[in-house]
Amino acid sequence: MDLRQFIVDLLSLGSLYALLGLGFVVVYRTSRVLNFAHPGFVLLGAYLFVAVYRKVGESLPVTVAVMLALGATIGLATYLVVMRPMSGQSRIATIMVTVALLFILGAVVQVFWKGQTTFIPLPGSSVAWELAGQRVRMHDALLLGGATILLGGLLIFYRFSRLGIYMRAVAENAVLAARRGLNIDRIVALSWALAVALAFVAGPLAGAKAPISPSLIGITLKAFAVPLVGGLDSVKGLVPGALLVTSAELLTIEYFGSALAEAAPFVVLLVVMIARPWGLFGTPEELHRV
Amino acid sequence: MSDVAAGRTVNNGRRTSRSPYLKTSYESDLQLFDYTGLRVAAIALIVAGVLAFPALISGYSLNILNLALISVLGAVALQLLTGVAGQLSLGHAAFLAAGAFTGGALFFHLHVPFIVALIGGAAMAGLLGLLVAIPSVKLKGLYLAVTTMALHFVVIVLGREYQLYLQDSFGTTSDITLPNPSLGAFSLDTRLRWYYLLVAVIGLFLGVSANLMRSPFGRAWIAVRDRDIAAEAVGVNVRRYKYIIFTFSSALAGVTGVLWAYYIHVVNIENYKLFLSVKYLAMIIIGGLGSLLGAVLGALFVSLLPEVISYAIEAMDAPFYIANNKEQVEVAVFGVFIILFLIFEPEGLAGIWRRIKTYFLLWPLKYRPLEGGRRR
Repeated sequence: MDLRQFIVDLLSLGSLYALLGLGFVVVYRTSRVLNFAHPGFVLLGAYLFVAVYRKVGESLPVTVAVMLALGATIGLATYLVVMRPMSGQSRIATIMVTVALLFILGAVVQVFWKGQTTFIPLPGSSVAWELAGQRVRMHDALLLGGATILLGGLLIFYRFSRLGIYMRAVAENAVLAARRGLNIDRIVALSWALAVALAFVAGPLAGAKAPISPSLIGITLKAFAVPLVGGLDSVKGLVPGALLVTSAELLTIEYFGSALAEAAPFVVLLVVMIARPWGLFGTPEELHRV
Repeated sequence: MSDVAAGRTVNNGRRTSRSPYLKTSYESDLQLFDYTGLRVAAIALIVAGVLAFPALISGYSLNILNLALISVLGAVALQLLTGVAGQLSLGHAAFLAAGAFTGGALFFHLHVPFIVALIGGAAMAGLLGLLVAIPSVKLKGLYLAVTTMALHFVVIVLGREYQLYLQDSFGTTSDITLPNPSLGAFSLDTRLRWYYLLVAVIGLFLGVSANLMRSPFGRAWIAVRDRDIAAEAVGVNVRRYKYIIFTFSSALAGVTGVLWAYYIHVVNIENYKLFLSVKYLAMIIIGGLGSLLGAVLGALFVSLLPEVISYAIEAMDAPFYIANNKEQVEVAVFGVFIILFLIFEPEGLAGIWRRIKTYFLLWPLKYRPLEGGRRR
């Protein structure tokens, strides 16, 4: 098995999974809600990207800006219409609401785009380089670069920026944070805006690996294992989580065929859930706070 | 009647009639239902209605109703696991599939009769439930949901592999086909016969489940659901009861799976998507978590909703892009209903029923009168 090709695949697929998993972490880090609707937002973002790209005259920077704005608006709307009325209810109920939202999003996407396969117009679609004797496609580098920037950016955001610290405070103890003067409503709304905006960026980036089709939901569900393995409230846990899950999948494809590889991320997830339910870098009290 | 033992007389010393709110003997406390005249008459009426109902509807509707009844069985199984014992499970479709595949495989390879397929399906699904329970006793809430979801995907992959194996070694098509089953001399070849069988099985399931809920098992499960640490402190062996409920619920799900497979005459892994698990969860949430009546109402609601939507789309002469995407509209409306119920009616249909019942029971009063008050 070609080690260098394996490393390239590992890094690029791992970056994709980490990017997709990031959305779950952002929502969980602020409101302790497992956002099952994230795959739906990712798919919607991918399809919308193509539509917006064509509308704004094929300009990438404008499209990215529009997508971020759209994502923030839709995230805000989701919070106001669906998530805020659910505050105070049990965790099970909130999770079910996000699952229902996922199916609504899937149905909406199906109605408007009818399950067609589209190509995301990312730059450098046929560019590849020779690095240390290994062929690296520009798209793979794009994924790795995108993941590094976004994960790194969010790490810095959560650790050093005011808003990031506020978000972590709201997650840890919302009532106490409110007593200290934080506007919980606004902070949670912002976290949802951030999460969906991220989904709208991650979705199109997934187009670097393969054309976009409704199977993207399945891929995002596989990526779901990444934050669970790394720790649902940990951005830095996404890195080891992604590496573990991706190597499991790639090795399974190599030695057992691609049908069984569909289950590989979930097997890793199961093993970690049994051994350490809160993930490698997650905070342990999470288990009892449910 | 030992009202006199209370040391007081009511109604100026005259003999009182038995109050429905007071249990005055151990016997009456142990009864499952209140067998007062009115209640018995109502039950008899309902039973008669259920038995006579098929005469009123068309064959197509009977088919839909049978499928709805099968989902009632599955919903009761999930209600015991998630509503009563509090173990949130997204793996229900996997247990249904386990039952169906075991029953189908037993029929395909060994040509066993229907009863054996049922028992085999229940046993295998129960075993799978026990296996799932082993990692799950440590987990709660969303981690449990995620673990069961992961297990769902693993089971689906295994099911696909088995189907591929069948295709390669036996040259069959990708699914197993099942004929009409027969229980001894009683062959299930018409929808009407299926209807009566399903009603009987539902009656059995509900009876067993209602009894279980009144028993120490049920009380233990409710304790585990509400405050498992306190339950452990009081002496409930939380681990053991979790094992028991997972096994029992998945065995029931296995029976449902076999019944469904035989009813639609097909065993195919594509029928057991994650959406099916979510649908069952929706049934018990919409119906009301924790109540058996809720499971029945929720299952009927969710199963009949697509039909109602189709009918509404046609009747309303909807714009063409809705009519052409009926399936998506069903899914979307279904999602909207879940959200609406969760936001506005967290106790579900059973909660609504309870409120209606209380309203009529207390009419014209809005609240129960105080103890020792003059009324009653």
